Amino acid sequence: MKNHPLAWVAWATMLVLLVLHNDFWLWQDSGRLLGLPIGLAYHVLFCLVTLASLAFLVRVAWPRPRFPESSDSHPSSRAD
Amino acid sequence: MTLTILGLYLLGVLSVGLLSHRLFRGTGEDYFVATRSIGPFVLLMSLFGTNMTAFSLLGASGEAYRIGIGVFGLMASSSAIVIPLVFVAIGTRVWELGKRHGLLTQAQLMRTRFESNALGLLLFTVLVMLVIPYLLIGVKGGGLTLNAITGGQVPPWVGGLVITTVVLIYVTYGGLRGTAWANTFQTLVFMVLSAVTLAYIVNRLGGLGPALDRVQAAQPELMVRGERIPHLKHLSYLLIPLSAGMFPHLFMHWLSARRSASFKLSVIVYPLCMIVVWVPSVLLGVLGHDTFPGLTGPAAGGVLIRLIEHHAPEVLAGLLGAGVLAAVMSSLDSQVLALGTMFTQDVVRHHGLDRRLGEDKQVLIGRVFVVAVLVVTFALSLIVDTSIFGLAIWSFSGFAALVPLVVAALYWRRATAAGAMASVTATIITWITLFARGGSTPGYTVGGTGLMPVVVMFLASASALIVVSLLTRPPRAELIDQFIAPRHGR
Repeated sequence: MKNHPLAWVAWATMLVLLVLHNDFWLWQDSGRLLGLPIGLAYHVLFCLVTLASLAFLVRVAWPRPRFPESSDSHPSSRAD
Repeated sequence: MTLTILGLYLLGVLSVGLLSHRLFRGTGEDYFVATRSIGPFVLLMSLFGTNMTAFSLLGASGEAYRIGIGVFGLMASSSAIVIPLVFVAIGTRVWELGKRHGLLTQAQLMRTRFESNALGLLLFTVLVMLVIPYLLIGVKGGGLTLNAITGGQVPPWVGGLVITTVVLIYVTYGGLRGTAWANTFQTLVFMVLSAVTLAYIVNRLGGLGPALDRVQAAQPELMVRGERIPHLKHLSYLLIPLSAGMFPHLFMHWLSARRSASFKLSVIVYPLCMIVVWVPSVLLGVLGHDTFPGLTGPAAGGVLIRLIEHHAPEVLAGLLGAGVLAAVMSSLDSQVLALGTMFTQDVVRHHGLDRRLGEDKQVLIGRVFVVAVLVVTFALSLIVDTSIFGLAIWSFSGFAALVPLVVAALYWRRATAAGAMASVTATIITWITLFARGGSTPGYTVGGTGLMPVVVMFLASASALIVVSLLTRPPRAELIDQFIAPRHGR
């Protein structure tokens, strides 16, 4: 089975978000956005964008089972 | 009134935990991982509740009082992206291997993946050492909080004893299913109460805007990150939430999932849960300056409790106390059960006399260890001082530094037992070295640069793993095929 054609977009979005987490351009900004200090509002919005991006990732890049035969059955062997 | 609400809350938690026992199937797998039957919603509440401690409600507000709104970006939004990715990349793979090989602990996974008893034993020891401070923080923090919220009516040791006893009853009786159900109830409680507390206090302060204006006029530096949070600290803090990849208590909850797809809800909704719990904590910490300017030391850490006492001393204090209990117990129960499972599986079952331990006996031994771990934790909480709270970030850093090991076990065919041993050893050495230098310095960063110690530990662990693995003989292909899908054409 092939990966979804947009799977790479989902993972690339995550990388971009990890970069955007570092909002150094707002470091000294004491303004307000949506009634909150901008440094806090930015990260609340960041969480919401992350939520949407994760929903996309779950849809197009969810890990396929490596061992499909054991994914929906009982364990075949036991570690001790 | 405060004590009545707390008592009712504890009865509610016990009822939920004990009710789950009706579904108990009497097997070891049911006791330790609920026969891998937990659905998406309970899994989400268990994973989130287990990861949120009293620190999320109280510690975060105290930290926000000290350094301002930047605490949210530092600790909350970083977790909101890193932890769901850990669930996707590590959690789902661990779940699949757990089901395929009947795994119950991390040491079992590493021991079988790398065919090394020594690695299993070393990892078991390191994980236990890293979890202990985490456990102590819960019992001690909960006791101190109850003492403060009840105006000294409940001595700290009594609060710790009550928390320990309630957890002991529902964990020993209900196993992981009882823990998951109780976590779901408790997580909902502290999420709702966080929002209620913020709304109530902000209303009493005359609204969010005017209250923020007053704080900004008096202390404008709290509204920006500025000099208080160096760029490098903010950047390197992103590695701390990786610790979720090696928490034994999260590992145990991952194994309890019904299907791989059960993780999807947790992955998507986790950032929203972080907003619900952390925004109130951070805002209330900053707004604390409006009512109580100039607090320092432990007084600053307890600013949320002071706000509650000042603005709503009776009912809200009781509800907040219940919220703190919920946060503490929803972590403590999973940590204790994880340790009980590790002692039963990795010590008694693997290194003991009888490897074919019967189901009844496994459950019995698991329960005995849960009791033993809780008794020892409570006893330790009576003798250690509050400086233990500073250990939390060091504990997280140690877990995060072990993440290259689990990633290699799941994804890198070339990783060897020697490489894995080198990774754990490098973690131990760098942890001890850096702790000796900065363990007693609050907010320590490497050389004062802003770089969190976790970066050094993580790089040392990953480098040792890669270099030593490449220098030693590759593992058997047939073995690796059992953990990482065979390559095409093999």
